[in-house]
Amino acid sequence: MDTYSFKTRYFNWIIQRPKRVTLLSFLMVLAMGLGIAKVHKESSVDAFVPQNHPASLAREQAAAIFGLEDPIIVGLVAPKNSSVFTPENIETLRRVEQKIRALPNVKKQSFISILNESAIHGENGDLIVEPIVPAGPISRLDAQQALERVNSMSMMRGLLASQSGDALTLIIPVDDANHATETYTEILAIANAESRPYLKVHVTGVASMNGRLAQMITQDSRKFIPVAIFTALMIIWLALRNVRGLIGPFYIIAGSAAMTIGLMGWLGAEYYLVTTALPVIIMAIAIADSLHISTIFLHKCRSQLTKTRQQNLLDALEHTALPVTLTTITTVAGFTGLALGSSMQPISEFGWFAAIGSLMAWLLSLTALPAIIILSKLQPSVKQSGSEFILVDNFIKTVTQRAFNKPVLTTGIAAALIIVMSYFALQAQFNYQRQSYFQTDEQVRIADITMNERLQGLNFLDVVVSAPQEGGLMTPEAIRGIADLQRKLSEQPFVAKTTSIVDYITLMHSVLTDAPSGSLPTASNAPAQYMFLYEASGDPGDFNEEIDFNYQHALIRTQLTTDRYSDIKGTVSHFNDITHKWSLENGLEAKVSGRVAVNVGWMSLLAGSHFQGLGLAVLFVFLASLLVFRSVLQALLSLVPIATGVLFTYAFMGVFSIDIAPATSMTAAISTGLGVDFAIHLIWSLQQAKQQGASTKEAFAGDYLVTARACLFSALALAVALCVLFLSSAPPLQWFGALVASAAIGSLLGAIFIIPALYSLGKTEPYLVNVKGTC
Amino acid sequence: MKYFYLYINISLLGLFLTAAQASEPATSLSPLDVAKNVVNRSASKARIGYMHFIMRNKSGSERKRSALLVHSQEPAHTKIGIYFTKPAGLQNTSFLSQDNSDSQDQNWLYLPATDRVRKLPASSRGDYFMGTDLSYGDIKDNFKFALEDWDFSLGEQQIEGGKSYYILQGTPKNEDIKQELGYASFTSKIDPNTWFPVNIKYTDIYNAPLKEISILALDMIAKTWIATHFTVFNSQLSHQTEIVLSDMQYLPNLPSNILTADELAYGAPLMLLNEGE
Repeated sequence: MDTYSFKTRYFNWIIQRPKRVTLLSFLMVLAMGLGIAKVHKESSVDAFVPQNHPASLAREQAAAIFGLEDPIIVGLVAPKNSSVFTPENIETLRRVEQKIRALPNVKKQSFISILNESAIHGENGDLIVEPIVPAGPISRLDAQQALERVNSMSMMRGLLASQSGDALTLIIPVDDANHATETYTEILAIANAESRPYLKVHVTGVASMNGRLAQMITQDSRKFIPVAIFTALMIIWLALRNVRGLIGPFYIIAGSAAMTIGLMGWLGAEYYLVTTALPVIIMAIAIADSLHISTIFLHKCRSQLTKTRQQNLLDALEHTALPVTLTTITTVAGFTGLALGSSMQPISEFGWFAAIGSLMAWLLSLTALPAIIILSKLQPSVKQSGSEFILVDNFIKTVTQRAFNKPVLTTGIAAALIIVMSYFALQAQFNYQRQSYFQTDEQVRIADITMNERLQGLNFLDVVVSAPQEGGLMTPEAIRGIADLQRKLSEQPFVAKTTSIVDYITLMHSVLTDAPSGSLPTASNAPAQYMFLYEASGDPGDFNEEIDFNYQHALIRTQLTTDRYSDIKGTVSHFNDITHKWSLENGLEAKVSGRVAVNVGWMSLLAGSHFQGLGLAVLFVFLASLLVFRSVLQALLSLVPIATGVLFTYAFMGVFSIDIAPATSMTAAISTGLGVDFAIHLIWSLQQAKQQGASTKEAFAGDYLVTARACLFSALALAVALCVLFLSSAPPLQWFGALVASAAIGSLLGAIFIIPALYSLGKTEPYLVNVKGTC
Repeated sequence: MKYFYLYINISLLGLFLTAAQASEPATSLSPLDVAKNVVNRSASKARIGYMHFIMRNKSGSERKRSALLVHSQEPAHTKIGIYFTKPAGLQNTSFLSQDNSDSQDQNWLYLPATDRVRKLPASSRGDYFMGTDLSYGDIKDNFKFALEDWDFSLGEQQIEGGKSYYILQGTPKNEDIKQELGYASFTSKIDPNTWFPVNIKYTDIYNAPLKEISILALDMIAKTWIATHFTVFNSQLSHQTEIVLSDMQYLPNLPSNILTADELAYGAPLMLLNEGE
């Protein structure tokens, strides 16, 4: 009586019940996939920073006190050297404002523009507060006076209007800045309708950019998935040269992606910007599993003609089940390392769900795929004899032979290449700039660049000053302290402009007492009484953005000329040092806040944890390989494709000046999970051959070459499918695709060149040079 | 005894008529009649008392201020003097408003920190009154609706606790008035016994709900109803202003030189408190 292993009995059971297995797997995919409807998109860049990060907390506090959310900014821009202050343009601003007022999700009472701000000036010692733009029809004189009033208020120049008077802004706070897609779209439509040849109406601001990003995620998801599936099918067809062979892998790819994304929905996980790449990554992993099984099955069918399809399938499964399982373990290990090592929620979740996706692909590959192969009656066509792979096989054979026969030369060339690539890899730097998330012809990017250029920078870095008790800031000492802090902040690099309540108090002091411009009040109750005077003369809400209701918290707002992380991280650091020292000296508290501080906060977090995530991914892969091979040397050898893949990634970044930013930072860690697959498959194949008595040289022929061919097609499938990300309208996603694709190619080259050379260098049996260059 | 029964019968008839009047539909008066009754409500010539402001923003933070209020109403003008006593930062700060029937309104403010009385820019009726949720127009109107500003209509009568109230509605007579007042409409519940609004709801110039004034207490001072406790809630800003008047007294003989710009710097005319009735 024959005794069969559990593995053989399991696969036999599947092969004999293909319909039942297919149906069961379909029901499982359906049940999990239904969760896709529950997936919630989260396009906010703030999702990258933990809720309890100091910069995030300070910004929330500032938002609660001063109502400062990331606004939508509408800019009316006249041609350079011409004034935007004309009756027609101001009427346009009015129309735009009125139309936007009718929209939902905008804070109608908090709009900031020349239409609802007032200018202060003195007249015979009396304080005159006048609207910048008077009510009613606008005359040429009104428009000219509006320009003069803005110019007389240094706080407004560079924010509500450009210094040269060629641009105007309308700042629109929104109820939910992170979910303003529709609001942005509607405002953009209003702006486009009002644009004329001599007056461009732009829409920018962080809320706009978030809104546009959300749009891109939706559009990109619709593009990527069908094209990626089609791309994957093309590669599989190239690898198998059999149309029926597409059915199983197609099911595994679509099924594992649907199950993983569906599970996200059931678990209530967010679909972040970086998550857009997840279905494509899962598909790429699924291709590798299904391609290996299908390739070996067809190879068995061609080489074992006397056996039935069922027997050949059983042989193929017995041959591939273990390496497919082992590669899944190592891939899961790599993604787990990424998940555990990253302190950013979107990246961490990406790691976890990519690991789950790998498991789903493995599960379906070892259950549904064999069943579908039987049901689809897959077998090599009569014409197929394997000759169509002769070019690919010859290439692999030549590469392997040369690497094996000339190990010193191969490793020498590899070492030289590694040195060159390391040089480029070291050029890669952590960086982030808001506008780089958009194509150069993207409207919101053009608007951002234009408005930053015309104004003095729309990148806000704030400092919140707090007194211990209500009314504590309305003393001459506190005002003097804030003025001193504001002066110090204004001296920092990239600071174009600072604004605070002190600007208004010094102006009122000057108007009311004929004191020199910029001098501060000294009378004990002067600040409180000046504020009261303004309340009695103008709109009490005019200072909502500068000081709180109880005069306990004030905001110093600085405008930076850039938001590029590498430029302004030093400025933010100086701000932190200055405010810390100032707080100790003045008995008031000053905290750095604002969009720029939050961005620097999460970029610093990324820079701090990036190599930790990568290191953990490599360590986990190494430990998994150690478990698989039970040999330190072979576990180290399995790291070779990872090293080359990661090096390719960083070198690519260095050569093409791609920033290490949230979307691209994951690529190196992903490379470890994907790159190790090639090593596992190849080393496993070598081990099997050697266990069957083959010499080291002989082990690099036969099944090794078939496995290497599968690896080659897997890498190609991975690279080509990831190139689908080039269809994305967001450059970081394009880079993500290109980087992982380059990592796949780098890993493949490391595997097929360096592994044979290192094996050759480390072989123990006598080695004979094959002068004919054949195995 | 006969007279006693007659007296009882007359009293019962009186009670019956009062009850019948309370539940009678408010169709007997036209919208303009109701508005006229509100406008013609008696007003004291001059009064004095303390005014306490509590201003709350949407996060619940409060600003409290107290002041001595002197109010004078003449045919040619209405004057309001407010002399702040709290908080400490505003102590001795004084405000004077003169609403002239035939010329532009004038406002002055005395700031101790600069030791000078300053003339404030002429205010529009829609401007906020000293940081409160009231407008200058609200202050001047004194819970009345100027007949020359509004077109009136009546809503369905409301009966509460057996008492009927008129629902008076108004829209500005023209676009200029609308812009000046800052209101596109009002709806007010009017108590026919006092001709005082119980509440007034205003919409902004875009006809979106803007604010609600609720009169919480009335006091009869020298045969004149005065709102001594009321709130103004601005629903667009989620701001609220609560005003309480205390120790209100009628001033039969207000010296003509008290409510003048020159006198502001001399501080609160506390001596008038002893002259009130």
